Amino acid sequence: MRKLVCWRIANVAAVLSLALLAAVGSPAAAADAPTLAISLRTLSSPYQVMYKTGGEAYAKNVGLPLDVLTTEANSQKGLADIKAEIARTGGNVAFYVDPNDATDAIAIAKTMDDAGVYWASWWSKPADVKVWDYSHWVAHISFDGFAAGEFMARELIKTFKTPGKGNIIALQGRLGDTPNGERWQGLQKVLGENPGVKLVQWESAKWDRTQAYNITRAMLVAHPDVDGVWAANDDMAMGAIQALKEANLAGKVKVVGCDGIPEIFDAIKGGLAAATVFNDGKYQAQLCLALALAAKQGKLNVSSLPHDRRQFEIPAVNVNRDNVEKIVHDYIQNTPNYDLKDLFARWSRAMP
Amino acid sequence: MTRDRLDRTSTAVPWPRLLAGVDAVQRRVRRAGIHGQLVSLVVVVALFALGTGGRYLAWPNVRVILSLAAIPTIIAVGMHPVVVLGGMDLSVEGVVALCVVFVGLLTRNNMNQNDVGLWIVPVTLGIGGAAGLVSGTCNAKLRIPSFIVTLGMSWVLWGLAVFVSQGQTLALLDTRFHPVVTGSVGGIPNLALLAVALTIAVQVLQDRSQLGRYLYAIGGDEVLARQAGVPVDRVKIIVFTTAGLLYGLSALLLSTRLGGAQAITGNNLLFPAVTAVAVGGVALTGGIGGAKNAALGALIVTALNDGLILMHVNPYAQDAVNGAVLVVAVALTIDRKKLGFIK
Amino acid sequence: MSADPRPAPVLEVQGVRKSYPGVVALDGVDLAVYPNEILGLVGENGAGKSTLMKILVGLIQPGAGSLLVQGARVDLVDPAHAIRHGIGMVFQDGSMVPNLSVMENLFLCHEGGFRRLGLLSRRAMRERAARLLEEVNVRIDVETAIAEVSPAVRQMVELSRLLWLSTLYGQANPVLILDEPTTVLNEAERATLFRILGSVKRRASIIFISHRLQEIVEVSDRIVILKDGKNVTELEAASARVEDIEQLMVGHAFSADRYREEEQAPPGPEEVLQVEGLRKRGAFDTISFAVRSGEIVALVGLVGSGKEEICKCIAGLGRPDAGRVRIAGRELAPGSPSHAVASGQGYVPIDRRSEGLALNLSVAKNVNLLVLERLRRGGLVHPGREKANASRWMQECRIKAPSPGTACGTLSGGNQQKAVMAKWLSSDVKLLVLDHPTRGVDVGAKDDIYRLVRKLAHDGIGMIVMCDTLEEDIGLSHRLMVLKDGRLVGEVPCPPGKKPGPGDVIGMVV
Repeated sequence: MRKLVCWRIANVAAVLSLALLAAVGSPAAAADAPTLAISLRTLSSPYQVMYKTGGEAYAKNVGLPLDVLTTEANSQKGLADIKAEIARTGGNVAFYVDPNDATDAIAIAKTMDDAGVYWASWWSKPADVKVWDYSHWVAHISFDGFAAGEFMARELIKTFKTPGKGNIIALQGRLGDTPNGERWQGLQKVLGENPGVKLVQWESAKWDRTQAYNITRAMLVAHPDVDGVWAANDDMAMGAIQALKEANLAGKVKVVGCDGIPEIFDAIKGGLAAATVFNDGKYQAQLCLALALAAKQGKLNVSSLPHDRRQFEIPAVNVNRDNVEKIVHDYIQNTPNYDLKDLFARWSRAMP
Repeated sequence: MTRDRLDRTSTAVPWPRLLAGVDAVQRRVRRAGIHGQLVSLVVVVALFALGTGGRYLAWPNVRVILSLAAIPTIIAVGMHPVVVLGGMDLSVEGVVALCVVFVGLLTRNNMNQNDVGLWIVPVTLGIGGAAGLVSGTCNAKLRIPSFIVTLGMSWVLWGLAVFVSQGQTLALLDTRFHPVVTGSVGGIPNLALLAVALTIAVQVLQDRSQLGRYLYAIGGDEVLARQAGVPVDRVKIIVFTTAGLLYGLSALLLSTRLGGAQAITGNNLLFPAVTAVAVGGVALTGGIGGAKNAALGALIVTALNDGLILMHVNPYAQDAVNGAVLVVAVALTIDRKKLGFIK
Repeated sequence: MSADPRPAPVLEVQGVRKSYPGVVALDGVDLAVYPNEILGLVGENGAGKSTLMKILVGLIQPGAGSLLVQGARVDLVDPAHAIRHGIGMVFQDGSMVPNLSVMENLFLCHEGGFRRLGLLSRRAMRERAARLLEEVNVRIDVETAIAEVSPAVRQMVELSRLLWLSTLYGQANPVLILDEPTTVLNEAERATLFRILGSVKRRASIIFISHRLQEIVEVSDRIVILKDGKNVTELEAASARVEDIEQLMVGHAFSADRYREEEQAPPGPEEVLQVEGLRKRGAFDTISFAVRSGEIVALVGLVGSGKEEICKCIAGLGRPDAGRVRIAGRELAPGSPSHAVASGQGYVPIDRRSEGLALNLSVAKNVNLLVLERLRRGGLVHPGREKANASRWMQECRIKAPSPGTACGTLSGGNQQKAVMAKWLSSDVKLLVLDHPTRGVDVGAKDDIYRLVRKLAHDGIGMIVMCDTLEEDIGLSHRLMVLKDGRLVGEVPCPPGKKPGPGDVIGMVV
């Protein structure tokens, strides 16, 4: 009989402690403090890891919990995870989303509106979709891809032996991605202004270093006398540099990229790369989380914002040999204390 | 027709012997099961040679093809015995991701103080082999279909790789490996020589060892093989483990070549490997095809892609071409009788 | 007490029992196999032959009883173990891996003896293989894939492997079981097989299983008859008669009217099949004939006479070069089996396992396949009606199966054949082509099938048959059509009660 009583007590105790754990384990459900959340593609990308780092610094500053969701390049998963997060927090959440595909933005916007959750996004959305048509979509921001592509191209041309005259090969990212298209346009504009510069061949390396390496080696056989390589992001640029090394052209033929990963800074310092455009992922995360949180806390009246404050672009940080040391010091080795008092301080132009 | 020629010309003695020799070689090639693949390779090369005005066949390009085909060959040589068994190994991307990350973290790098040097070789082989061992055991003993086990393994290892590396890229600073990987002997890239050596070794094992016999028996009819006394489970585990070993090796080679270690280094390795195996004539239904098939398949696929670039084929179309090649290759090699109804 | 002149048995089965849920497969079997003899084993399907053989080679374990090899008790765990004791079986479906060559199959798992420096010596294996196959009268390139070799040769390779393995394991007098080996052989190959068995006998014992009682009597030394899981009789082959064996197998005397001649009724007036000017190059010359309602016509001829091709063209499975086929007045589209079936044509194929039935589907589903429209209610097939229809036909045709839901693959050959015929019976077929309808079917089921044939005729269905033996052709049919080298050389009427003997007809055939 005693055994049975002991057993019963143990059972009740177990159930109670489980309940307690459950209650403690999900504070957001009970408490008032909102949760911050980021939806990004993958933590295997050093660039996207900056979202997490920046987001964590911001969360620490404001004393709120942060959740990071990864889509792993799967749009369905991305949307499902967002919905799950909303459910888990009971809608008491503010989001920064970097959509996996431009078209995902529509589904996400509808979900957020239905759930009454404020969010801000970066990079990809369909051009014909307007942020102001959705009540809870605070803003869609992008770095000026055109400006980036232009800067990269100009810096590359500067490195030619014969000024303003030479051949280049180019590596595009995933052909459907918005940033890719914008940077490509920037390159085309510069090519148009410089008739002495010829783009002899381009391929898509899908943002991947190994693909870039393989393709560059093949293109170098087709065009052994190339003067420069334009790569739509730094990972691909690094792959191209390795290929150039094996063709004994590294340093003589320069590469440009975009994103601002640590390796490219070393490459610029070492003379293998000419320039990059530093997309400050940390700032992206902080700005968007701040926007979403401000809207949620009533400090920002979304519906009263003019259209050009709902979707806009801000400039990225252009990096070349001249300023690379400073950039590395300020932005990579440290996380700057961003001034987020005026959320639109860096506003550069409206998104077309 | 041959006889005609012989009759008309007054036959010099070497002719009949030469023709007989050519005939014997042809028979051997046909029996070796690579007849179709060699013809395809010749056709591909000829097409591109014509299309690029001969530049395709110039030594610099051939060198590039050999160099770029080496790692896919090693992967295909590792993967194909699983296909011969009648299964499928989808784990290469995850295994390579994890091995690459460990290469980055353990050899001299820019993030920590580790420097295991040459010990990285057994370590990377060990990780790959261990992954294969687990996959093989789950497939053989727990009877989980290989398709599922290896797919799951790939995701698990991939997640682990991302977690361990924190998404960072590690620069590889140990300079001892680089010249080995990028160097050449007599103009032929080291990697190509390594790939050829591995292919020959595996092929000899397949032709002339008891293990090789068992491999093809299981692929032909697993039930009958088991009845005849073949140690089916043991063979399966060995096959998966060797695949993992070779994936681990390719991880080391790949990251050394790129100078950096990232979890995503493993991406986009699976599709070319499966295509190589299928194009090479290793039937997905099992029991047919050896290392030479896998190697030839990898060479054909690499040669094809290189040619597409050299001929400025629209990059939008290149993926479509690769996809079509895979479907055609599988259609030509599967044994429909074995599949009964094609699902 | 006189000394037993016979040497000690090399294999003894004592009181072996085996049961499955609901069924007793073996009910205390006693059997002895002596050295250097050919033992013929006969019995109906369900008598326990295959169960007993599976126990002998270690595929299944007996529930009770024991096996003695050379006087010592053995427990055989698997076929590899059994062959180590000298017991092996040449399976009806073959047990060689199709993509490996003859020589690789021959030595599979036992290649150790051919290792040189760690690797296998192909040349040594080739030579040895060639020598082993010589002993069974086979001369082929031993590196050919097994899948490309004829069934006759395949069987010899399996036999050879068993002999070789027994030598390897030092078994002086192995016991080799041959399960229906003559099914896939033609006349010439059969004769060769018997000759080889005669020479193999000198160093092995053979258990020979067959449904063809004539063969059993011809080739065996002793005959064992299994019935209902028991060994009912042993006979010396020299003094055995086929009729006695049949009687012992089924437990009752067969009526002299084996083919149910008395049920053969004159055919009706209308013609259900009209073949006009049918011709196919390389197969058969112009032929025209008609089959009336309820008439059974047997096509007789050697292989190559064209009879199979004619039947294929009638069934829409082959395209003739010229001519017309009409079923009940409706002309068939050549080369279209679906049109043929839709016009009322049916085909009972020679290989029912791969062509006549969907083996993994139930009896009901197979039987109802052609009449699904009739079983519909409200647009969907009604399960109640399906079951009722299937049960009715199972009863009519005496298909022995646990239930209509049993998968066809588990039925015996005879019951499978009955299921195929039930499928056609239940539909609106007007002409049925029967290709070797009693192949692989045991004596009891044969009678059921003849009964069904008579019933089909009674229902007005016309039939074309090609049987295993001339005797069966004559016994079943109203008339024979004799074909030779693609031409119709004669027609022989076979009225009931006045049937010609095979000897009268054979002259025209060859």
